[in-house]
Amino acid sequence: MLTLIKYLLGRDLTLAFPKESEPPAERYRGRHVFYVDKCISCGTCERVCPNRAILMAPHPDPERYPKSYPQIDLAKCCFCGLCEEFCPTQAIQLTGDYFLTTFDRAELIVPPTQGDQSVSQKNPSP
Amino acid sequence: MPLESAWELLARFSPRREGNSIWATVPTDEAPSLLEALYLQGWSYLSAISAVDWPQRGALELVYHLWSLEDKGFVHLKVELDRTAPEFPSLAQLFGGSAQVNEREIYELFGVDFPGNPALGPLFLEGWEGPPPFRKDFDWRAYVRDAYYSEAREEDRAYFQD
Amino acid sequence: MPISRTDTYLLPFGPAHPGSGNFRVWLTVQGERVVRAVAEPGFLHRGFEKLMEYRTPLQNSVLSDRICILEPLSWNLAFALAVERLQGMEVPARAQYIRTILAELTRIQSHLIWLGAAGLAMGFETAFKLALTYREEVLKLFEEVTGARVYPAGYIRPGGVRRDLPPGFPRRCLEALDRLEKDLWELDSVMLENPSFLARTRGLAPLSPEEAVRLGASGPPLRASGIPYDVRRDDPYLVYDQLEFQVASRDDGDALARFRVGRAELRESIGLVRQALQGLPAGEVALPPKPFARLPEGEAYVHIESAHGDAGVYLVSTGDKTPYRVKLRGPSFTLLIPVLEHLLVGVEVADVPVVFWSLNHCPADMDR
Repeated sequence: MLTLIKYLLGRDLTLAFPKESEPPAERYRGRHVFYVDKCISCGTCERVCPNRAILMAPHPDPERYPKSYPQIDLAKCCFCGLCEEFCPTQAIQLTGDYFLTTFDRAELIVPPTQGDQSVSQKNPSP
Repeated sequence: MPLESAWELLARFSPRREGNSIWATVPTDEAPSLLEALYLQGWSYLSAISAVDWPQRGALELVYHLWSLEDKGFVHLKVELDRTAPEFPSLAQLFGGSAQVNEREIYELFGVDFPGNPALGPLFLEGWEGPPPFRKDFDWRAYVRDAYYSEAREEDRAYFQD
Repeated sequence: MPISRTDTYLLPFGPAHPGSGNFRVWLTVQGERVVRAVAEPGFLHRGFEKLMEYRTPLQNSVLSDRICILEPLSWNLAFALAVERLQGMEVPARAQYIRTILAELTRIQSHLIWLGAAGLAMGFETAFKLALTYREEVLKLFEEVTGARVYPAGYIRPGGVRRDLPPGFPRRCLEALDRLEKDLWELDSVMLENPSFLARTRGLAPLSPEEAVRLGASGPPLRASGIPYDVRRDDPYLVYDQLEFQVASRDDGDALARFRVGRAELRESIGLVRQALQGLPAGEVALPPKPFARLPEGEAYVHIESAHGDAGVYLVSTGDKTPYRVKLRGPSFTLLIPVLEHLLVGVEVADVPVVFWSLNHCPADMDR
């Protein structure tokens, strides 16, 4: 009976997602952000990825960026963060953005352009 | 004490001792009677049966992992079978259900026959017509590529590299 | 055509049932009693043993999360210990304590799902929701430490752990454990000491100790049948030989005894985390990771007490970068096929989910 009163009158246990949400933890492994100017094209990220989600691909602007850079397939990615851990220049980093659903499979292949720096670590939004 | 008596029983097969585990490879024709002797010594808990495929040697190795509840130690007993027609007498009567289900798994995935096992049949795979899939000569990657992926699709390109 | 009372019919207790996992049991039923049960595994067979042959040890530690969805860190640990035994690595002490803390937190959250799902199996959905709410405490801790609530992506890896604990973690963890203790008292009064629960589980599907050993049971079902086999006590790994805890066991062997063992283990695990936090030494948390190094030749068999039982990894290497063979001994393999088929004979159809969930199994680590 006490349990009933406790839960009936206490605060809600759930949040009205997505209007309300808690920010993810600082270490949360979400979407990648890629800093093309830091990349040295060593290919370590491609070799260390357990699911072959990263392929070294040419940049859309080959005159400015002539080498190959990581193209990430978010559908294969398991968001383990090994690419971030072993990148020698921290060119790939994982943010706290977890709103990754889409209706178009092609959107999930992220080309190696400069990452979107407006994605905030603390407050991702849909 | 089961660990000491197992060590004596297996002494003529040059066993290896690592902490609380004894590893020994024994000849295939003596293995069933050795396993029965170990069971009578108190090694009644069959933890698992592993199979390792060694095509270079033409052998398929079975490893019986026995745990002693009394002595808190392992005996890992290895048996080498001929890869072309692997079979080994079933231990389902002696060790019980744990042996029966492990043998069934190895029958399905490696193609080893266990005469005397009451229920050998498909376990995980449904409608599988090909060769035993966990053997080294079954090319998994080629099968998966043919069955599921297409080189024409951009997102499958990664699976066709090396 | 009239159906006589001695006719039997086939009832699939199948993968789309709310009271089963990803697993099907074909029940031959006569009236309301099960006459025969045949398990049909394979719904979650992903071929881990083969997948691991194509990946390096660090990649395999990421893959090992997904062997059993309910306790990813336990399988991370089992695989890491196997690689370390093969390579003869000495892991720093701080990493061993952090691993112990995470392994016990994993046991806590896995047992909470187990007890909650047992409530679900009886139609007591509220208990399920309460148990999952309590589990949130642990998942928040995991998110802080490993970066994700459920899948830690190989946080426990050969050589240590991936990163150190975040600052202030020990205090937050102790506060979460205090809240969890209160929650567990509530779970006791709502479910585990509830007269309906006791009536439904007492005397149900008893498992004798001889049968438990012959059928290969491990974990709570074996301990509830009177055989106190716990790998943490009998073959200690990490720092369990330096921590004090009781091995929970009962003699009755029925479903109630199994749930009681689970509840006792929750209490012990909370105590173990507190002890480990108190004894946490300073220092390094990992040996430097070498992602592309070769494994030495050899073999190793390692087993741990995962939340579901005795989980083993047999690793064989021939000196390449990838293992030659990885055999995973899933504790639920023997629990879900021979033990379940044995226990379900003579049980009424309405009690089948209760017996099923009393075994503390995970179809994922049966199929691998």
